[in-house]
Amino acid sequence: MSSYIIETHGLTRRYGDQVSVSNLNLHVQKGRIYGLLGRNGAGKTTTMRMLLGLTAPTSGTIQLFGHPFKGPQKESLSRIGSLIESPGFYPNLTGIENLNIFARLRGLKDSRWIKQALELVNLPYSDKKLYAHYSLGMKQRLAIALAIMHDPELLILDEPVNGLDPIGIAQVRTFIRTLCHEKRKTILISSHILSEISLLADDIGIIDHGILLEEESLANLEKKNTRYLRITVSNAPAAALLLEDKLNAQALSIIDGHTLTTEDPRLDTGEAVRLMVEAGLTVQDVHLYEDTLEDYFKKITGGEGIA
Amino acid sequence: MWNILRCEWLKLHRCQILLVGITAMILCPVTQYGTQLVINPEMRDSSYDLAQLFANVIWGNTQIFLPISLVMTGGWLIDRENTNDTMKNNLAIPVPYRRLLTGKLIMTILLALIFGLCSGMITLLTGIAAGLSFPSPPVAALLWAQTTAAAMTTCLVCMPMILFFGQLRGAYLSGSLLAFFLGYCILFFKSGPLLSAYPFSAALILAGFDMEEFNGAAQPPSIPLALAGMTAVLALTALILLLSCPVERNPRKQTF
Repeated sequence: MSSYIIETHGLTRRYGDQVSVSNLNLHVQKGRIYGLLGRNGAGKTTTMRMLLGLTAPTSGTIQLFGHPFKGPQKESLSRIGSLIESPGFYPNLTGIENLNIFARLRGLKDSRWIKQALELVNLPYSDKKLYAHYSLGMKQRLAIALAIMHDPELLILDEPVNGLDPIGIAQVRTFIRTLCHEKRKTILISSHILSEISLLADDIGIIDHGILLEEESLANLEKKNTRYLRITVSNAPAAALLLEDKLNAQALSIIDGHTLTTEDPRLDTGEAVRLMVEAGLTVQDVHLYEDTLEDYFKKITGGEGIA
Repeated sequence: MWNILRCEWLKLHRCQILLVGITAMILCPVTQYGTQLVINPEMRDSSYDLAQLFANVIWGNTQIFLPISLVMTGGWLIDRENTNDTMKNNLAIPVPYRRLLTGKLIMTILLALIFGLCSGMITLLTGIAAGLSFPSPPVAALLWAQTTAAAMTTCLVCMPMILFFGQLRGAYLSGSLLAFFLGYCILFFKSGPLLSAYPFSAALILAGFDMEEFNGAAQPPSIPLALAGMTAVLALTALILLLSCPVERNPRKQTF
């Protein structure tokens, strides 16, 4: 049996001529947070909808919990909690009345589950306010409560921090981490906000124009990231010669008369500065630059950043 | 299914659209009696009694008030799941789509029952308030039951429209207009097979309504034809239900 909670092979969804998701091979490991990163319209939501049986794939296969997933099946879906796109509830009912309806449909008889879920998202249990009068942040919290109410093993969260204020975002982030690391839930989270994904995810999938361009653990991505030393000095060519000669520095580039860079990971910065100073060069600035996830995203997608 | 029905009932809490049906049920006896009052005194039926008021109400309900309010309410019950974006929550549980629709149809029949009971009670109160001669209690109970039965058979006739227009985003109001038109057409079928087989006529005939006496029908109605008309409607409902599937939206954000 596969060790992945979610595994897709060649998952594709077309709408007429338009390809929303193309040949997607996704691998989500148990007990980890998988961040699906992409611009608006990249195919994140369509992918998640296919994983929940809300949208039928044009081709390709899905395995959930090690078993083939062929449309909405209670065996699989009862183990999943989801928040897809914007929260959807009945405006004429209170938050708890809304949760009661979905709890009943799920076969949850004990109101303890609802109470726990509301407490986790910091919404009052006895609130009489109608959903129609909720703020955007409260709606989002209620949607998260709905997703976790039945204690699912897998959470599929589509842009869960949308509409939350900074404190709310931090709370949800902590809460998602707790769910994963303490309660051993597997979480697939999508976002177009790079910082969110980089702060949360253990594994990252970069999706663009419906194609999964990269799937990697955050640790490996960090290893792949370009790091380089940028030195501003009174005479860059002389400094380059010195570093090459004395420290055997590799991959040196002279940007201009006063600036040089090196991507040599072995270069001892302190020693380099000491040698340049001893050679009578004026060292104005030494800075270690490291690609961010956004730089990496730009490089992979060959375009602009996203947030 | 029981869970779905319980939930459909809970979803109706504080729903103002139910007032449409209740208002229609109040309006019908009042307007029917009002019509008697505004006609010339020499044309007025001096023997107008509660039984005739009930007959007027049953006719008015099936011809105008119930088709409009039932298609509007039933269609809205389906439409709101897409408008409020709650369909995804239901389907991800999963609540099978067709079972959800069936639940909504059953809930509409239950509402028709309530509307029918309500209509019977208001007709009775209107008759008492107007001082109309009162039949014996068993006859009054029978008239009340007939009003309720006609409301339910009218609901069965409206089901294909509820299903069809409810699934087209925002079209349930158009559906209720069509239902009004089709209900009104009952007036034109006073003889021939359509007197009994036309679904709205069939709804009345199957509820035991005397078409000959009230509608001026030129021939006695045929129960088998009425049953055939109703069966055709139920078959159409089943067909629409069978062909129904959740609307898949093409994600609007995507432009490539």
